Amino acid sequence: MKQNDALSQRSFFHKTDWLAVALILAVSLGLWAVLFFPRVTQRLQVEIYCDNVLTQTIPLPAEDKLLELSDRQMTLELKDNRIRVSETNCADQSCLRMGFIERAGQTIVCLPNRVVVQITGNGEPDSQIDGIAG
Amino acid sequence: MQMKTRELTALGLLFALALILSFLEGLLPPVPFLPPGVKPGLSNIVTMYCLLYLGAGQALLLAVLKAGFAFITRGITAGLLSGCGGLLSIAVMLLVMIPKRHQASVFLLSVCGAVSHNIGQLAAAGLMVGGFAAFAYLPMLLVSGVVMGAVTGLMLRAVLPAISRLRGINY
Repeated sequence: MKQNDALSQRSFFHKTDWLAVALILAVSLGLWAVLFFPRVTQRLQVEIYCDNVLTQTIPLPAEDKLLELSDRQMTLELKDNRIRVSETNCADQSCLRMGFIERAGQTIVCLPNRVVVQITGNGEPDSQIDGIAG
Repeated sequence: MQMKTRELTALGLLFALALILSFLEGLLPPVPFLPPGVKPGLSNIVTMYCLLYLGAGQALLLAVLKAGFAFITRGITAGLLSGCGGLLSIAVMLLVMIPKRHQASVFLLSVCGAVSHNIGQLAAAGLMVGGFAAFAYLPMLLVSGVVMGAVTGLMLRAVLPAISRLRGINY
């Protein structure tokens, strides 16, 4: 057992800590920019992965519909070019709480069901003005 | 590992405290539209205290115990998330503690711990679903790690006088 009071000797904050905070926030911003960049340059598509296998790709815009992943009791709802998990049997329901996603880079992960739903750019340039205005 | 009775008792108390804090945190209503993992991480206060006062071995043991408890009560997914987050968090805090001449501040330790906890959890999630899709949550989890790390660091600082008074009695 250490007898010295390790914490009260340790100072709470150094000025240089701002550097670390700035670095982490910069990385966050950079990642965010990379992930969300296709939004303004490419047409979007919904990708659905089950067990890390791409099982469905839906180019946007698409008509409203319900997608049932029957082998894992999960329902996805595509509405107004947004997609969400509308029903799931998993315990923590966090995928349900993510709500609708509509922009490039947005992802819903359901760990218990091993399902990933994400929106990505499909490589084709987006010529729609309202796509840019978002 | 040969452990003195006092250390064993202290570790047991800290483990119980960590569980209580996690439980209380779980009572908070989940915020819609935020990825899971954006949460205060109150039990990191206990982990940091354990790391600074009882040492690295005990802190790692605490993380393993917490993961084991999550596994038993909430299943394999929760156990893996807890374990990967907890162990990476301690590993990173140990790295930050290495320089002796310019001792890392409590704030820096706490923020690095919280951020790496989130990264560890995402890595575990990435392993489970395969691939990098889960990393779409990373930008938000980095920001939340900085904020929550600052909060838990402050809390540790705030409760420290009380703990210091108890230390002579407890162990």
